[in-house]
Amino acid sequence: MSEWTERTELSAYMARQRWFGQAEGEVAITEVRELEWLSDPADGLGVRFELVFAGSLFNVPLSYRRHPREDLSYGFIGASALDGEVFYVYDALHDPEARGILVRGFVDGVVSPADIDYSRLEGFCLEADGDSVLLSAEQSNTSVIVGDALIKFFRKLAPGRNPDIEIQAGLTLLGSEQISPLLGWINTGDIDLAMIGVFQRTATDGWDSARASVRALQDDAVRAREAGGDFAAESERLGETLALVHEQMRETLPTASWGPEDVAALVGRLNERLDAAVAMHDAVGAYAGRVREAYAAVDSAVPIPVQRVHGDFHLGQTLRTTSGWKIIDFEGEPAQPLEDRVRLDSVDRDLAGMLRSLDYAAHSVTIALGVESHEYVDDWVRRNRVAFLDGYGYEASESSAALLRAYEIDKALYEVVYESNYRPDWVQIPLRALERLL
Amino acid sequence: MDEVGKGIDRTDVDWFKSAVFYEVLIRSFRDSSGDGVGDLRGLTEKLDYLEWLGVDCLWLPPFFPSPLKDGGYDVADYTAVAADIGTMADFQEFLDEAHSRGIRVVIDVVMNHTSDQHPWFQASRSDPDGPYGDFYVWNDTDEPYADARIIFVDTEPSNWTWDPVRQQYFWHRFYSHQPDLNFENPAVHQAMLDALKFWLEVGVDGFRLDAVPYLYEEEGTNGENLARTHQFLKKVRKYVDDNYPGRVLLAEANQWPADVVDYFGDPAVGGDECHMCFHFPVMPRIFMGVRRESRYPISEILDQTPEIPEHCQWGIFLRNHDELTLEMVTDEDRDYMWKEYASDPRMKANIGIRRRLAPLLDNDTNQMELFTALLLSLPGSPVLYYGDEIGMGDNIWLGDRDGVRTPMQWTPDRNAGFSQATPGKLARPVIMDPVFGYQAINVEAQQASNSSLLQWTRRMIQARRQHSAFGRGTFFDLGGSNPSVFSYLREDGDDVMICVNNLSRFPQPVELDLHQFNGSHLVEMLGGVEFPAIGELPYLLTLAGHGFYWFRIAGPALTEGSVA
Repeated sequence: MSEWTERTELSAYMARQRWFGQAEGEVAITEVRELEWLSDPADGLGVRFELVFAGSLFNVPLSYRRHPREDLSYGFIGASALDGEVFYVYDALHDPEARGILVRGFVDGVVSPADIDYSRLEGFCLEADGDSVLLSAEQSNTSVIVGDALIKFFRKLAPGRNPDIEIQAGLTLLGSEQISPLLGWINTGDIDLAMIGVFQRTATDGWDSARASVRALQDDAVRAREAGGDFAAESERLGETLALVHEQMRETLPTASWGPEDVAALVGRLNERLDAAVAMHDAVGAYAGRVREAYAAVDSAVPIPVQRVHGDFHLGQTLRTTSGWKIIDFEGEPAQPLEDRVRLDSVDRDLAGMLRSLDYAAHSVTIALGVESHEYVDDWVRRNRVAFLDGYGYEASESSAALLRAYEIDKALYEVVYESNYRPDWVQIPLRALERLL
Repeated sequence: MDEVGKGIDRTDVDWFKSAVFYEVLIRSFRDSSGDGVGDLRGLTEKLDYLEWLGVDCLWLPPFFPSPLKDGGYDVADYTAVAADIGTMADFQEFLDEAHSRGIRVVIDVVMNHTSDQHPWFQASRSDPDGPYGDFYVWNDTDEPYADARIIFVDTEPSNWTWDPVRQQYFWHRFYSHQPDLNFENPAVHQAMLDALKFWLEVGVDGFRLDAVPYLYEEEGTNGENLARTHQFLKKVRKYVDDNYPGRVLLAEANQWPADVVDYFGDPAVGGDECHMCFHFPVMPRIFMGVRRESRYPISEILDQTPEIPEHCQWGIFLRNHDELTLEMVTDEDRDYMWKEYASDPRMKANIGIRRRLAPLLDNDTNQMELFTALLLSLPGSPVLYYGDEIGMGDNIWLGDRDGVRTPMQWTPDRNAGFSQATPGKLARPVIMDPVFGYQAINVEAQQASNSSLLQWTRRMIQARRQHSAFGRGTFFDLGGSNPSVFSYLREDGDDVMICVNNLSRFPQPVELDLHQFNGSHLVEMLGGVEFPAIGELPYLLTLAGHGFYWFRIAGPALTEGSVA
């Protein structure tokens, strides 16, 4: 029906968005797949999902307005002709009216076009004409709050069930109280476009809570356990929460056991990532020998129980709510291919993720304050590591300790590369961690 | 009768929902006779001060004849005034003077037990077949009701004590000198109603009912919150409503909110037991929230607090004459609180002993103001403890309960202006340390200084009075981006207040989702300053360490020329 004559304007807009990623230079759009209209542009406002191929596949819902809207200028993309008539095109998620149209399929009695499904879990119905609010400051997705629900629009798309939907649907049906229940999702064919869940209104993320604790500590001149802002009981409850979620994932999703060959394959993958890190960052080379030794210490003779895991577990994926901790975002590492994100793994992957995150939270405060002293911060990290593992019910043995350590090292190496590229000031955090781990 | 209750509107039956209460210990407030003990006439003298402060209702702990082994909660006569604090005539004069200032008075009634010196008990032990023989819970063995916990484990080995006179055991949930009354006996019901009637006829505005969960015993239960206890309270409520409308029953049920809520009675009729109940867990949670610089301890407990019937209200407090206790809670909550408190030497040191607000907060004015702002704005009627409005200290060396019952500090003169007695004659010494002593902390000095805690507290009470949202409004936790900032909405029809509290000692920013008020703006309550208009995006505020705001939501800002 329409032809994007101004693709350059769309590519320029996409290049400015955080969700597009760090690719530099121009965005080459090779194809745009337009889904059916959710509202008819003949009425003055047309809204539809458009799937844009630009290196990867992106989800770009657009609104077409007959008249320009001054107050929406930050979401303005360009002008386009539909059947010979000029329309002003906006990022639909920045257009309050268009947002209402995008989520209308969740309202009782609304019929959606044939090429798009609004799936709802039992009992859920969105109220018609609810106000919506766009959440700011998100990296890879764009989220909107409507009433008591949070709708997350995936920006980077891939065929196949999104692991976040898959896992949260399983845990929701199980009645998990440790996640924010899933309410439904939007898909076109085998591509998932968005998911909707309960909005945790009173929540703040674990990253902010942990940092508040560390900040309180630096003023106290006491040990972490005596400090007013002590976080250990929270870390312990966070460990308990993760243990419950892991148990629920075992109950509702596949499990397996890794034998010697699988463990060897794991060590192989870890070494490959090490090689890549060495190639990308000079400082890593100095650790390579010791890292390989640490990986070699993972005992292939001891079987490793594996299951679906969170895959990208850190403080930013936890919400402190008035009814305890909730764990969110089960997508895995967004940068990895889907195959890696759904791979069964040891729960130690998630434990290591949180241990690294506690270390990060603590040391990020000293960086923000510009202080050199690490002693009280190291004390905080030790105390909270122990509390988290206690809460989880982690039982250390020689072989399990080697595996957890290997995962921690792997994560720290990834951090070294990442920080060198984007936040050189922060690279000292994972480097110090490597010193400690090796 | 016309004179009784003058100045009090008896048709306002929901007055307690927005009242500010003030707990005052008569023996420690003002000594008019110079004998070293505060008295009723002294309290009457100070009513002008209490009216000036702006409190609506006084709560008087027991002032009845008593051996005073339990701070007067060991009552030896329900219908008289202890000789050392005055006479019935003094009480009547005090009550009339309070009422003429629009101040109501609630007195303590201990229903569960009496002193062992009460004539009923003396008659019961010496004459088992007499009219009082069945007034208490007697038994030949100490075996029944084994599932009832011992509350004062430090002093009492059992809930049964052997009486050598009657040659039987008597039941007591508290001290062994406080035998429990036998509520199986209808004559006990009548005796208790007669006692209430006596004071209602005098004109009091209600009763704080001490230790109500324990009235009945039943084999195989823990003897708390039993159905027949609730039935008896319904009977009391009906009697009061039928004969003395507008009077309030305030329950002390030191239990988890989900259990306490039963003491309000049937929600379908707006509540048919007690009008008010104390909300115990909220207080230690406020202390913990500020200590942890995290809103969650407070948010959680409010989230778990059930709805209450329409004509009911919580009573909330920061400090009272009892200790900072963790004893009122479920096992789960006790674990939570112990985990948070007991590992912390600073907090642990304050459990189970009686401290006042100011020393608990290191005499930090900012924190005292933050705590008071929370008390005056959270859901429930605030109960202030005498002396906390000037930041009085305590004397932990006085032991047991007296540490927080030292004389009110009125002036920098002898005995803090409390008494003309020779200082050595005071029943309890005034506080004399350099920080909290009466020369530094007293009403006279603080009344003279506009920036004092006393003047600030008075202004806050006045600000609270202007907004029905505080007393009668709904509560809505606003969450927000910063875990150290506790923000909530109080809403009663058009009256909408936003309270934002920084629980951290450091300055903090917070982003609040206020888009439902898009186009309105915020007006700060104490200064009347208009803050920027609310838009669709999160509303950014910054707060000083331990700072707070009370905002009124006002319509779109008026600009010059927009008023026709």
